[in-house]
Amino acid sequence: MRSLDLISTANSNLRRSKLRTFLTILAISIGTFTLALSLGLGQGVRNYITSQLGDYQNVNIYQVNKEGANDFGGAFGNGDPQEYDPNKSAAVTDFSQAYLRPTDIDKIQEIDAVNEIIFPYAPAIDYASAPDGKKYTVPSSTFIPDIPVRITAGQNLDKNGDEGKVTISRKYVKLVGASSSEDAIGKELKITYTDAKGQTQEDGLIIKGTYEPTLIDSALTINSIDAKRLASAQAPTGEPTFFAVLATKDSSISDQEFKNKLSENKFSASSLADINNTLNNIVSGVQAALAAFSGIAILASVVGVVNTLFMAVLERTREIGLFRALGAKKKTIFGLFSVEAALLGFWGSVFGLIGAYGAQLAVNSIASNTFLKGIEGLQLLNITPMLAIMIVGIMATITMVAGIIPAFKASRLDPIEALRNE
Amino acid sequence: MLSIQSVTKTYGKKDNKFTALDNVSADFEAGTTNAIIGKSGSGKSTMLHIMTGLDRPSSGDIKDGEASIFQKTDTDKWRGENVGIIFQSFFLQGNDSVVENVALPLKLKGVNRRARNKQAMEALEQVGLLDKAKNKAKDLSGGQKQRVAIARALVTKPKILVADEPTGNLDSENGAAVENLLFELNQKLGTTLLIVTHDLDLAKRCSRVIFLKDGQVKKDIAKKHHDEGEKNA
Repeated sequence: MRSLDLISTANSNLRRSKLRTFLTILAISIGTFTLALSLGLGQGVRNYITSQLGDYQNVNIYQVNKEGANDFGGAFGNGDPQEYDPNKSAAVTDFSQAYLRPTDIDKIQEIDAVNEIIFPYAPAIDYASAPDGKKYTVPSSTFIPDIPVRITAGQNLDKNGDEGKVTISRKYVKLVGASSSEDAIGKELKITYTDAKGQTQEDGLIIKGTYEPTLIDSALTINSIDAKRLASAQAPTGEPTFFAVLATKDSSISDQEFKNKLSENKFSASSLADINNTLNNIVSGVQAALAAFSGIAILASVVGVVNTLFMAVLERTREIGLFRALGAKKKTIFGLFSVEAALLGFWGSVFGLIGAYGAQLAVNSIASNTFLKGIEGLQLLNITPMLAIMIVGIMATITMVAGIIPAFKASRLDPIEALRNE
Repeated sequence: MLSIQSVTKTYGKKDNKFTALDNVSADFEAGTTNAIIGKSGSGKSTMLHIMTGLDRPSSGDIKDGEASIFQKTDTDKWRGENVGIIFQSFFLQGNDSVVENVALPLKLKGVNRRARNKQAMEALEQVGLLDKAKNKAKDLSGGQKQRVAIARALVTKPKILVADEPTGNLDSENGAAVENLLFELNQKLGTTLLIVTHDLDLAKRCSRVIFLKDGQVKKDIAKKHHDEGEKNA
């Protein structure tokens, strides 16, 4: 039998018992629907992470802190008791121990693999005063060279310079009374902060550029000179302290060697790419768990396929005998039922995917108007055509495999017995 | 020539052993008309199944020319190419059109749609049902259904046409028409005709009649001419 005839015959056989076929396909489509949504959700979130952090994949900036500083389980003593190990850094029992002392910073500087240390001053700004008289909070950070920034107007800050200048998220331009990114350039941002003595101080910073914020960008990026000045004014000792510093690695060594070197000195280093990878791993884990649940739904629907096919074999016993009498081979009979099984998977997954696409449209439009409002470019669900084709292929294969036993039974029917069956 | 060589078929084991065919031999020359006649339980259906390769003999062999049909690589393929079978209860696909029913054996063989429909129309012309080609098979009368079944059996241009009680489900008028058609086609196409029946009148129209009883050949009467057979009856 020709493949095309086999498929069209199997497909028209599906129409013989319409209600039963419909119910079987419905079960498969429900399984496919949940599978498509869980995979689509993972894909959507991963795309978002890549759109936000993908630019940082090859940035030579490492966050360096004391080893164990992130290990809060042991740090607070709320885990199991841990034996003292002189080769390990002491457990961090309060946050002050996690801070890098000047001697620690010297130690980092002395490590060969470290090229340069950048201090991430974090001056606390109480508020910014907009020309309309309103006060706004402005999360701020220090300008760090080499980190890609999506400038929307003006220019980015220069390394070790640009005193008195800042860049600002394009969403914050109304703080200087501007209506657009371009409009904000050159305008002064009036800020108020509290110094170490508790005195309120005012300052003004000129906008040099505006940028499109990503997940890890602050609203305001201050040049390193002013950031240091403000942070120092706020530090009780006059010297800002750090939980972590940033370091660039020497280009002659690899990422892993760099981390090992720091680890030898009881420091830990993580790159922006690590954050990206960690997030992606978490998403993949959640995605796998969701897919496993939909796998159970699919498994249940596959049992339905086996049942449907056994009934079809029973109903068509006489016809199978006739086909054999007219010269059909066993493998033709096997093929007819296998293809019928695969078609159940095919149609079930196609209808499930149509439903999933519908849900995707609805969920994405609701999400972007409500809880994802403001997070630009996030499609919560993203069922790609590639994913859809893959799902259809997988479902057709699974149901075809499920159809092996009924199809084998059909192919082994004794044609004489089958013809007697009236 | 299809030749049955010492075929024995038994069912069951030991105490329940039942011999359906007991050392039956017969040769069927190409182009002849043959009837196998007997009461129900005589073994004639078993003989039909074994002759067409649908069942295997317990001992003995069936040969098409020199080669055993069971030792050929594929008995199903041999049957598909050399044997057309007509059943008492027609076995048409009721929801399919007449032409689709007739084309079914070609579809199973892997002939493309255009070619198989053309051949199916030719076969329908031979049984005089060209005008019913597009009708659904279930809408036909019994006689028409059996003519469609004959067209389906002939569409592969087989050497042998096997009919299992071809008129058993038909009234006398339609039965006669189907009978006439079978003999007419034997004359026209030279297809060997093997009719399994318990209808003596039908059997007598054949040039050779084999009487089966309890699985054994009781009589094997060959006549030189068709007309002579009629006279003797």
